[in-house]
Amino acid sequence: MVNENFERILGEIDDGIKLGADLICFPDTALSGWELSSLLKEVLIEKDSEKWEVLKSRSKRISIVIGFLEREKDNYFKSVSYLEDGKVLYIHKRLFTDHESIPEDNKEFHTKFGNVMLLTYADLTDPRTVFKSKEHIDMIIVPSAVYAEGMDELGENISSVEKFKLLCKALSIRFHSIVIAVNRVGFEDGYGFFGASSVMNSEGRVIYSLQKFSQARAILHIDLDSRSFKAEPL
Amino acid sequence: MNFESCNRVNYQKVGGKGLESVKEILINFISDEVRKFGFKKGIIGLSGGVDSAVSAYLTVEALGVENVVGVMMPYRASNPTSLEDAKLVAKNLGIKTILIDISPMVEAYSEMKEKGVDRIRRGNFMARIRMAVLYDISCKEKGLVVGTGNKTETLLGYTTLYGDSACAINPLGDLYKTQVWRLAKSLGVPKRIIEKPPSADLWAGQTDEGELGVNYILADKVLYSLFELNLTPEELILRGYEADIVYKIVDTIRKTQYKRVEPIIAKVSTATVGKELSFPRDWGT
Repeated sequence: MVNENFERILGEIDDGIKLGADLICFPDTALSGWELSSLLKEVLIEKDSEKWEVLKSRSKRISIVIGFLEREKDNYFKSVSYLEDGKVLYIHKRLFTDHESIPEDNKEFHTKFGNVMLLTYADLTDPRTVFKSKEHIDMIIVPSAVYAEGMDELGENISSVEKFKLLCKALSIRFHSIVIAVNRVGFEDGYGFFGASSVMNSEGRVIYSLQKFSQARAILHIDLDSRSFKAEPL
Repeated sequence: MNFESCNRVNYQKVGGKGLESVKEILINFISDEVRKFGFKKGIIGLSGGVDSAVSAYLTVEALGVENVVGVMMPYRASNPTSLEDAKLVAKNLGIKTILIDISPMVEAYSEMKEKGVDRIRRGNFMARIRMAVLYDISCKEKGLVVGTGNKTETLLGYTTLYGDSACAINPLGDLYKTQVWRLAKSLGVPKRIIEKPPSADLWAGQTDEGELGVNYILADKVLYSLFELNLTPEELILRGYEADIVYKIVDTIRKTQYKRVEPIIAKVSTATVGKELSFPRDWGT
C-alpha cells in the first residue's frame, strides 16, 4: 500500500519539478492511509530508510510538505514534515494512540518562502495554536485529512465541510497570513475525505479552491512580497 | 408528544431542496467503494419500498445505468403492489432487472410447509433466501451487493441478521428513515413509493411501524436526540416525549446490539481478530 502511494507521490513531485513549482503540498496521511489499526509496522517510514533519502534528495529541487508515520522507541507518531534543500526543516509530530493522534506543540520555522507554520486539522482548534504569540508568519500550511460528518436533522448540511473552511479562515485572519489547506479526497473505510483544498489570502479570503470530492492539482503563483495570487488549474 | 400526535409522512411537507451534499457524499461513496475492489456493477434487491428505491437511484448516478441490476424476489404471499412498485423504479431508471420467485425455494424447506410456522421464523427464512439469491447474482454479474438498510431500522434492530442486512456496502446506513424520505423526494422517487406505509412485506398487512409499535417520525426524533444531540432519556422526557416510548426505544436498542456487531470471539491469544488484530476494511485495495 505504502509503496504504491510512495510511487504515485514521487510522480507528482517529479511533475511539480517539470512544471517549475517551488513548493508541493500533499494532504495529511496521503502516504500511510488514515485508518492504521494494526498496520503501523507496515506503513512506517524509518528516517534512515531509502524512501526518506529519496524525498530529501527531491527536496533539493522542490520544497515538499508530506505526512508520514514515524517511530521513536515504542511510540508511533503521525507526523507532517517540511523538506527543503535536501534537509528536513521541520517535523510536526502527533502521538498516535489507539483512539486518536495528539498533536505536540509546534513552532514556526524559516524557509526560502519566509516564516512558515505547519498545522494539521487537529491543531486548528487547539488553544496552543489559537493563543500562540503573534509572530510574523508568511504562510501557514495545513495538510489535512478531514472527512464529511455532522449532517443536520434535515440532512441538508454537513458541518465538517463548513467548519474546515471557517477554521482556516479564522487562522488566516488571526495570524494575518496566507493559508494553504490541502485536504484528502476519497473514501477509506466509509470515511469520505471531501477534498476542497483551498488557498486563502492574509485576510481570510478564498483565492482558489478545488471542488469537493474531486481529485485534482493546481499550481498557484504566489507573490509573497505583494501577497498577490494567480491560480492555474491543471 | 405521543405516538398519536405524529402524523404519517406528509409528502407535501417532505423537503425536496437541499440534500445535495448528502447525495454527493453517497454517490462518491458508492462509486469509490465499488470500483476500488475492481468491480463496476451494483446489485440491488428491489422490494418496491423507498429504501431500495433510493439505493437504486443513487447507484445509477454513481455507476451508470448499464452497471446496475435490480433483483426482484417476490414470495407468493407478497403484496402484488410491491412487485409493481419495484418494476416502476426499474422502468424509471432503465436498469436491467431479474425476477426470481422465491416461493419454491422457501417451501422446499419442509419446515416451512408445516401449519402454524411462526411468521417471524418464516419472515427471517425468506429474508435469508433473498440474501442467498442476491449474493449468487452478484457472483454471476460480477458486481457488489449495495445495501438498502437505514439507520433507524439498524438501531432498532429491525433487520434479519445475515438476511436483509447483508450487503457489501451500505450507502443509507447513516441516514434515519425520515432523512431517506427526504432524499427520495430529492432524487425523484415516485410519490406513491414515498407515501406508502413502510413494510418488509413478509406477511399480508405487515407494516414496520405496526411491528415496532412506534412511528418512524417519532422514533427518528428520539434517536436523533439520543445519538446526535447526546440527550439522556430523562432529558427527552422533560422535553415532552412520553416516557413509555422513550424507554421502549432505548430498551430495543440495547436488546438488539448483538445484531450490529460481528459474532463474538472467545479471546485466548494475545492477537485476537477484531481486538488487537484490527485491519482497515480497505486494506486489500
